Amino acid sequence: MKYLTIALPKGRLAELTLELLEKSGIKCSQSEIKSRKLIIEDDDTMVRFFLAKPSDVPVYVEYGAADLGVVGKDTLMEEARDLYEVLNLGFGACRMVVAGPTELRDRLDEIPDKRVATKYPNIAREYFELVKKESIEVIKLNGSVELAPLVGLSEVIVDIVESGRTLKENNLVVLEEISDISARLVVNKVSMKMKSERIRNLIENVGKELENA
Amino acid sequence: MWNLYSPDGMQDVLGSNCSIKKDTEKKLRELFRDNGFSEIETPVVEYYDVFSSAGSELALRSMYKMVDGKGRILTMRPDMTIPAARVAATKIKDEKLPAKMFYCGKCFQSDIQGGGKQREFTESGIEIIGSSDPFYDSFVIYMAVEAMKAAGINEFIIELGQVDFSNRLMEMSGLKGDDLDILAKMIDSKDFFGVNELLMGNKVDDDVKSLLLDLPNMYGKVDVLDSVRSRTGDKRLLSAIDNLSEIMTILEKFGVSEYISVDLGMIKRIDYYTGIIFRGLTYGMGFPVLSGGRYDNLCSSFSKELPATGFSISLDLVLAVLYRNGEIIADSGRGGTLVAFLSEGMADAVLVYKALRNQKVPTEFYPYSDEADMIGYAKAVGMDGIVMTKGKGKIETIDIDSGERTLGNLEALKGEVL
Repeated sequence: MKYLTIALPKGRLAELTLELLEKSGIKCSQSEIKSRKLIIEDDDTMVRFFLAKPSDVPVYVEYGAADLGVVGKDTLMEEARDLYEVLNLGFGACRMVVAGPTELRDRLDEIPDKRVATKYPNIAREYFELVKKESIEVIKLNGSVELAPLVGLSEVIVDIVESGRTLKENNLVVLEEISDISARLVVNKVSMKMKSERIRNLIENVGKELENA
Repeated sequence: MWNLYSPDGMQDVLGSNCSIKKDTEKKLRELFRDNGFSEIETPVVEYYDVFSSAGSELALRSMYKMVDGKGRILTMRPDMTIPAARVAATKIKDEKLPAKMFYCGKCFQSDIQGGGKQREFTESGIEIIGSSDPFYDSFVIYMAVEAMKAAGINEFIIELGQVDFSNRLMEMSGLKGDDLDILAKMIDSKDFFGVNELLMGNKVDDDVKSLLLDLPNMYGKVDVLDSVRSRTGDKRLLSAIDNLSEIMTILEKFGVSEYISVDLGMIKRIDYYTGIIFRGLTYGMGFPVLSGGRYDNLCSSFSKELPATGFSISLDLVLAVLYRNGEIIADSGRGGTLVAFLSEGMADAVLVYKALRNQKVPTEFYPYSDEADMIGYAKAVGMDGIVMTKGKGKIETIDIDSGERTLGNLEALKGEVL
């Protein structure tokens, strides 16, 4: 039998996923994951895990280097990879929003040619161009996006918001909601068929566990 | 300066990699030819209009484009099916229909790369143009099975879908425009959660809704078809199912059912497909290595109504699979005998060379002065043995594996091999 390879995003999502998988009957020792080993194999169940940078998970899965993966909907939207997106795992819930200074509340549409700072250039572009039918200047940043409107780098930002506390502390508000975000189970399109039975069982078991929770 | 590099997504193929690729092409060529297909060669460069009139949006975006002296846009062909359809519609006489053609050639798409996919890639495939008989669909799928085997892939699935089924079901949802595109994308990614959310906001017939929600799960063996048949009375849905089941029944006669599965949620990737579509999947490759289907309207963009069906297999992906699964080893060497000579042994070398060639032994000349260099070369290119001619009939042979040396005389060999 061939290994079933699962790519997990480093960090909290990985822990939550492992917990869920364990409850669904897949042996995965947490302590091993916390060690520095890159790949953890279980020869009894022929399941193999590895941890990757969250934004890389869809790449591993699309190319078939991993059969399955867990990844945030934000990354999936941004990367637009060719995958099966089979389950909404529910955790890691947050929202993708357009945010800006308080004075822009209800006045977002009044700024022409706005500059939008974001870690998600594709999502920002798609939202403004396809949904709002306007052209924008996208400024790609790698972190602390909230800073951009405060120092005049951009008028607004597109980012994920969980509690909204960071926004509030910086006098920013949510101007528009783009979509809800949560963790998804994704599957390589070829693996889904070549390893059909095992993957179907896994999806079913995890699905049941989610319903019970 | 980029003079030391090949363009992104384009590769030099050397040594055994190249010979294995050419051998694989040859196996496919023989398979297609012996099954009634005739080979065609079409230009690598075509007018842009050939592809734009065929309306394949995906291909248009990714084509390399140039302009000729008269201001016409030229393009590197992004696929082989559209040129084949052009040939059938413009060059083949009616009495020769259906045209059964095969090809093996390079295609180019500027935006793909990764996971084994290249921007310059070799496609080999068949097209049957001028018949709508589902028997031909089955035959083409049977040929797809045989092509996978001929290429050396043994564990694989040919997965069937039906454009009429998925399109009709989406149409029945009543969604329009962008929503319909989003629905197609969600079905294609088996995003049951997304489909549910999208349908909730719209008034959709309950039966249609339940079919759409189950669509991500409608894959597997032939029983998938039976379970759907009992759930709808829609004529077009049923006729799409009947078409699939007829094709699968014929495939049973060909004895290849073990390789066949169905996915009713398969969405067409190329605009010209109209009926059955299929793709070849295997271990070690995250993308389909083979794809095909029925395209009944493509030829009409070349002013002739010719229903058609066909497939192509990607040589580059097939070879990547074989390497990854360890079925072939890169640079394994070419074998044969090196005929090496000192200048005074040249005439003897020619005799030995011709004698070996008469016995069909792969042979290569190597004039040498430094023996160690010469042996190094023989090892590096993967020869099996060396014959050295040293003049006046003196010869010495070396077995590369064992290193064993044998002295001999050309006179003594004359009776035997020369």
